[in-house]
Amino acid sequence: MKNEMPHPPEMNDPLDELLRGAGEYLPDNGFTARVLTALPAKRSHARRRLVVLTVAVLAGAALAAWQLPAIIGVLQQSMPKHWSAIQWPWLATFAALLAALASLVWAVFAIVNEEE
Amino acid sequence: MSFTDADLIARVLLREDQNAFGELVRRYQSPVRGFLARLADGDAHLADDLAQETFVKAWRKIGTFRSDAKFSTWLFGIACNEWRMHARRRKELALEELAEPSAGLAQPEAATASNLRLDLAAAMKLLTTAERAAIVLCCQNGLSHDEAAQALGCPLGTVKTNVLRGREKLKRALAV
Repeated sequence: MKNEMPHPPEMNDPLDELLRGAGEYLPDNGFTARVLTALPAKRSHARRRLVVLTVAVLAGAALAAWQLPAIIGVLQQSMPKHWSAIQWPWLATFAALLAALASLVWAVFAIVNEEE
Repeated sequence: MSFTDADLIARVLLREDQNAFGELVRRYQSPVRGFLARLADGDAHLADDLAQETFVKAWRKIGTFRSDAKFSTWLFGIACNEWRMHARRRKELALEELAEPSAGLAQPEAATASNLRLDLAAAMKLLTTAERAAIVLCCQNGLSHDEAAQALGCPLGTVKTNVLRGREKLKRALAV
């Protein structure tokens, strides 16, 4: 660290003495405690949260992609005939992946905002 | 056992140690709050709010602190930015203000020793914000002109001029 000579006061200058005297010590009075309470969450926690969220979202999306076609197949049998032309399994998988992606983006934004 | 600033900063960087950061806050709360109180014309509540924000920012940005500068200089720099942002929010001119001091403040004449400190507070209000900031950093907190320039984010010559002008105004106002 730099150890530079501070601003040299003029010898016996009453103004310097007055200014130094006016810079009296301010008692803490709970200030430090208030600052520590206001500190944001630790960054390592935020990173851990991001990892957990990402894994959860990806696992959810994979599960949805794997299971939804079967569920849709059952539902399709009870639907009117003209609806069966729609590619329900593809549509459902796409919707699930879109929801997963949106959740992931939202989570990343939330974490970045919290860190700022 | 007392830790140096560098030890405490290293603990904050490596372990995000809030106790170490708390010790840094305890060490520097007085000069930072005092500096901001001077800029805020003695408004202690406003100064404390800005000081709190200063330390919270310091916690967030401590990774950017370069050890070739003093921690106090770095903190004063953040405090100064906080003040500028506050001034901008209030649509006031901050350190670049050119306005003359308000006419309502009469210049004290022949101050006596007993009320000199009280007069100093009034006399400080006669200075521009830039002059006040330079005087408080250099003459009250012992920063060199270089360090003050770094903290205030302005050229060295500007700090020297502001200190000189500020001192002249104070001497005139206080008759010392």
